[in-house]
Amino acid sequence: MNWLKNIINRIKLEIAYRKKLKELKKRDPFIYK
Amino acid sequence: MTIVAGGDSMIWGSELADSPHGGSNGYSKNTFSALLAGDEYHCSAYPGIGNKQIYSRIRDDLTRIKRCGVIVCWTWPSRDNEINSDKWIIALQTYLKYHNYPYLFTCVDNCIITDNPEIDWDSWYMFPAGQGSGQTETPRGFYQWAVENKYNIGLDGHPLEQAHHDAEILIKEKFNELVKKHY
Repeated sequence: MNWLKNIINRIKLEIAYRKKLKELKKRDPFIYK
Repeated sequence: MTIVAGGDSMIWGSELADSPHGGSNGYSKNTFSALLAGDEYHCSAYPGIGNKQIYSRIRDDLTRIKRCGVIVCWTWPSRDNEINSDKWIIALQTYLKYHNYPYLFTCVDNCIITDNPEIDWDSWYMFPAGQGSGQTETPRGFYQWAVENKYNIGLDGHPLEQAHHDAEILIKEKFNELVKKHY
């Protein structure tokens, strides 16, 4: 079952990364608007 | 000695009165980087670019300009679809140190700051933290500092001449210490 846990962890990390990137994009007023 | 300045529209000087256009040599000489540099100034910045391009443009220009100091105002990492720009900052820092270019780094927004020990944070200037309500309570980037201090802003959102003038005064001591004294 380790392989399944690894996949779940990777997905969680990817979601956290994308969320952080989306928040950062909102801080840039010259690109986001 | 020439000062080479890297960055985005803040260093290009978009919306400043003496920046006529976004084309060749359309940059302003009233940005804080140009004011710090004085007469011998080369602008490697360009509006809208990300940190990867800031790095590349500086590197390209340094192959042509041998004896110079460097000032870079890093932009938002998200322009390169990244949550930090450490690799570009470290790559340029390594190159500048290896070739003995005196330099100073700053940024538009403190979201670029990480706890990466490979980055020499002593070579950075950060604008003072805000003290009013709603202001950023940690050392700020140029754009944060200008907006939160309610400097005049252009129609497209760029801080105007007064912000650059006052920023130059704030940065001057650190710039002289890290760059000008090595002339």
